[in-house]
Amino acid sequence: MSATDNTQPPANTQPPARAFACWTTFDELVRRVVAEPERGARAWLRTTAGLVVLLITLQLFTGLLLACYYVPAADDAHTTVAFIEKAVGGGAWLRALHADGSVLLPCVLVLHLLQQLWRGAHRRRPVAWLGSVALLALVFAAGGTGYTLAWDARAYYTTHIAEGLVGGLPLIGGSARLWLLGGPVISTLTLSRFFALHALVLPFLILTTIVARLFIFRDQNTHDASAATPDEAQSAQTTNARPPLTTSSLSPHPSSLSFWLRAQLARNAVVVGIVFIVLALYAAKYPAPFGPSADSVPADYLPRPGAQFLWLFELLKHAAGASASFIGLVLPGLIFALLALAPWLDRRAQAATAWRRRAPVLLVGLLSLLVLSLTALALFDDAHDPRAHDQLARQTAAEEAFRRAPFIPQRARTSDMSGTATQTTNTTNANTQNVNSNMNNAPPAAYTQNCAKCHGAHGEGVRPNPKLIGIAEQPHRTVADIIAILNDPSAYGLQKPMTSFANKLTDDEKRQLAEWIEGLK
Amino acid sequence: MADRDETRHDKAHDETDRGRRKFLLLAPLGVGAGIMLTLITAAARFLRPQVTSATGATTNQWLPVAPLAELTGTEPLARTVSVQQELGWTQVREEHPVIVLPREQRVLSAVCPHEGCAVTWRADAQEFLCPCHDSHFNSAGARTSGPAARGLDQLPSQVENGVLKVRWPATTEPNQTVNG
Repeated sequence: MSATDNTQPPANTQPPARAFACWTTFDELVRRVVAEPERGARAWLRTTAGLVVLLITLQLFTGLLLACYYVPAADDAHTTVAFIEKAVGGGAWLRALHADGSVLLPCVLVLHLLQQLWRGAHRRRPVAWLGSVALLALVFAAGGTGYTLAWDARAYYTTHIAEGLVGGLPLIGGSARLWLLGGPVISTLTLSRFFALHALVLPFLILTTIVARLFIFRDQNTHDASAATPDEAQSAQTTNARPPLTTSSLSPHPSSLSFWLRAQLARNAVVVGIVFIVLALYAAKYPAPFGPSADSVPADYLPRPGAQFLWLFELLKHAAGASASFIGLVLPGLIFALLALAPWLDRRAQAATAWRRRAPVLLVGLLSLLVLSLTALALFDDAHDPRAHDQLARQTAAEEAFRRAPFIPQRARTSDMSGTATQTTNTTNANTQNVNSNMNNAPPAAYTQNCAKCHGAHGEGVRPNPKLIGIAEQPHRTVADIIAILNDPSAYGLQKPMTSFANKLTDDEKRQLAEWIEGLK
Repeated sequence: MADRDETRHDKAHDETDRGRRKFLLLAPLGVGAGIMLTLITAAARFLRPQVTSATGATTNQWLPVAPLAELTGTEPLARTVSVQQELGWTQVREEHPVIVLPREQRVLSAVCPHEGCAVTWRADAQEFLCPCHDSHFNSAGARTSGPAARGLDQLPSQVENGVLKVRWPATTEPNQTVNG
């Protein structure tokens, strides 16, 4: 019966198809990625592998494109993302695809793990299982580091939370924080570091994990598993064992894939096609979130993480003090360790009752349910807290207004003149003149003594403290407001290290300061 | 290894079966090709090169090179004309090195016509030398030796209110080559 499959006369086959099968490892690849034959609903459930392939390819592809414009430096990052969102053809769509894919990928990977657990595949193929768990952890890490890159209000808070979580670890907290940030404070060094992790290190590790899982490490009984149906087992015997998988690419036939594998490949393609279309339409309708620049985060801004981190966000609301680091880092670490060890923890269950065999899947299912309910709780909280609800609505409105406004290019740097240059003509010199006028307009002595340390000698800001340049254009920042802030910053929602200057400055000094700050452009 | 019922199929069934098998392989490839085509189209749109926001004002205008008062002596003077333009998310300064010959009040482009390096003046030999491939030009900008096919290009210039100005970019002008 295998004759019909393996010995099609080469004369009947089209040369391109044969060449494709001969000179590529396409068949090999399909055998590794597409699950072994099964029937009906189960076969459809096992299309998660195809979805993982789709989403990882999509993340790599869109990520590479975004990297063509993105600049990982604190001064430029927000501008370049705004440029991608507003000025580049299809930029908003590609960024939305990247953001939505980053939420969907962990979900699909959890489903993938769940169905592997359900079938007991983690016991039969522990190496493949380990690969999947590692992939999930790496994908979460990639999602986490990705938030920092936009350098918007959300990035500002996410990075601070990462800093706090890592810094709160027992014993290693202090130095781990320094290593994460690249210095004592969140700065452009932190951004470069997160970019290197997100765009180079993690994709490399993810690809390595996939290649290792598919082509390097092999589970002992993979071969038996792929010949699981009686027919196949029999055919394997009658043809005196199938050739080793690695040599199948040398077969002279157009494709040696069995009917079942082809059918399963088609099922994967159907699911992948549908998910891609839905994702593409969703990304076209809803752009990825993009808040105000991290340099000028409004005091009342409410940050919310992406959907795949909402459960952690909800947990952290209730985590006091040092327990936050435990919940934010140690707990996820323990969950991943437990998942990774599942094949060995679950070994004895092999011969046990059906109920015992399904215990791990129930456990992980319960865990997933918990994560889902925490996510729902986080969403419910925001929807039913009028203050949060209104603020989030305001933020959405502000974001939409920002999107509608035309893109404003960054001012040119004036320092990169070549050595021989003596005569320079600016055709668009408005920006340069502004810089000059700021420099000429010396700050009042009270500013230099009290404010310059945090807000910069000319109001340009010293990270992470906000800059004052352009503050006049923000709401609630008139001269009277600034005087009021100097008297009582907490009334405007400003927190430490901004302190009250009510008794440290005279009224004249405050007015002088406020008027000077208001004039900063 | 194929479909269970396949043994009972006669030849006609084998033919339709072969068609089905082919379809089951081609359909997934089609889906993959469709997705890749969508993404590649988006990528082409996304990566399309930026054009400068150069309006008529920034092209072909007279840019000051040096006041006439500075044009003393006989040695050529190195100057740079630059135009600042919006490009993509930032502003770029397009700089062009030029050479002013003070006696003739002429302006030459310092860009070597061979491969575009900037030539330098060597006072001891009284010649211009291109550092990249050893093209030599005399003090008037004419080619003396080396791989350059012609002398340094002369840029259209004029004196306005006591300032020597040069037209830049001079793309619409035919290259006026300095001859011997």
